[in-house]
Amino acid sequence: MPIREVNLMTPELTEPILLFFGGIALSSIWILINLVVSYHPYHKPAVPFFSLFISGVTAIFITATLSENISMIEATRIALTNGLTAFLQILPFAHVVFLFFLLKASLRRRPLDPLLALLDEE
Amino acid sequence: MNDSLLPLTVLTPAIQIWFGLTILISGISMGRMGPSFSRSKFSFPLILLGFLLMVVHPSTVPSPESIFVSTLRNTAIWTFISGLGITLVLIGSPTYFRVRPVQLIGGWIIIGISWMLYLDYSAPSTWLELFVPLAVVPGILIPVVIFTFAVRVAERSMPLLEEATELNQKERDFVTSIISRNIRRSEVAKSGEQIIDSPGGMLSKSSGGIDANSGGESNDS
Repeated sequence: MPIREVNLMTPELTEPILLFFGGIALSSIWILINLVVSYHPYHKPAVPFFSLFISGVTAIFITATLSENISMIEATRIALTNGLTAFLQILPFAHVVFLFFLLKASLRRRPLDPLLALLDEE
Repeated sequence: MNDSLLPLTVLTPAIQIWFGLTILISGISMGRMGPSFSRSKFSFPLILLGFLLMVVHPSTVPSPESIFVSTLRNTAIWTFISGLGITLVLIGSPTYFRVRPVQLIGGWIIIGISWMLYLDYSAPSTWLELFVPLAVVPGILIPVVIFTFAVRVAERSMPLLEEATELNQKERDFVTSIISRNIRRSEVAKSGEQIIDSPGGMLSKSSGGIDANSGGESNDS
């Protein structure tokens, strides 16, 4: 769907789209900071840096287009806030998956290891 | 609303939050670099500083950051308590150690309390509120995919390095000394004798000019 028609969409549809682009902006900026901070002489960060810069700027530009009459700085703040808030809101889903594996680990019996048994004998 | 119309006192907490996020991400990134990089030791202090900068503010937080800060505060409470519970369960579970029922059961009770806190303070009121935030997941994954492809392109464009030369006699002696020292240490540990460890002594005997702090690299080759 062309971007000029997006403003005509219902708020129910606009919200997930804003969250989607917020996720792109957040993830791009996160990896960009990671590339800068973890730089070392054997790094070749130019291509990843510019490709992520372009994806982040595109996401912010689309956020600015979807929200009327806002500057690019405000669009950046909105996109990152959307991304971060939604990320925190989906943590319970990740928590449930993690607890499933934790429950399996709690109930599992450790298999008998002959080498460990030798250590116990000593 | 235009940013230029907002006074600096209103924007200061917003700047603080984004600065805190940058420091937090920097801390996590430095931590991921591992112990061979000296900057990794700044990881935990930076993560703590970044988190505090995002949570504690001198004045009221403007919109849209206020939504994020309230969500962060609510999430931090139950995730911290849940983290405590998870640690206890891992200590008590039979995967790494012997079964410790007190820690195991205590851990699961604390995890249950964290879920009660989540349901009381942070749980969404409608199904739509619960599932709409999942739209962020493909958004987060797309830059990761782009990054992976960009790294592949960058690595393929690099010329292949020449084959490494064989170790010289000095380097061979150094490697042999490390292996024999480790074997000696394990044998001494088995027999229960006390070992007098002098890393420089063996190096000076066998390899002469090799720097003990260089991790095996010869300075003059």
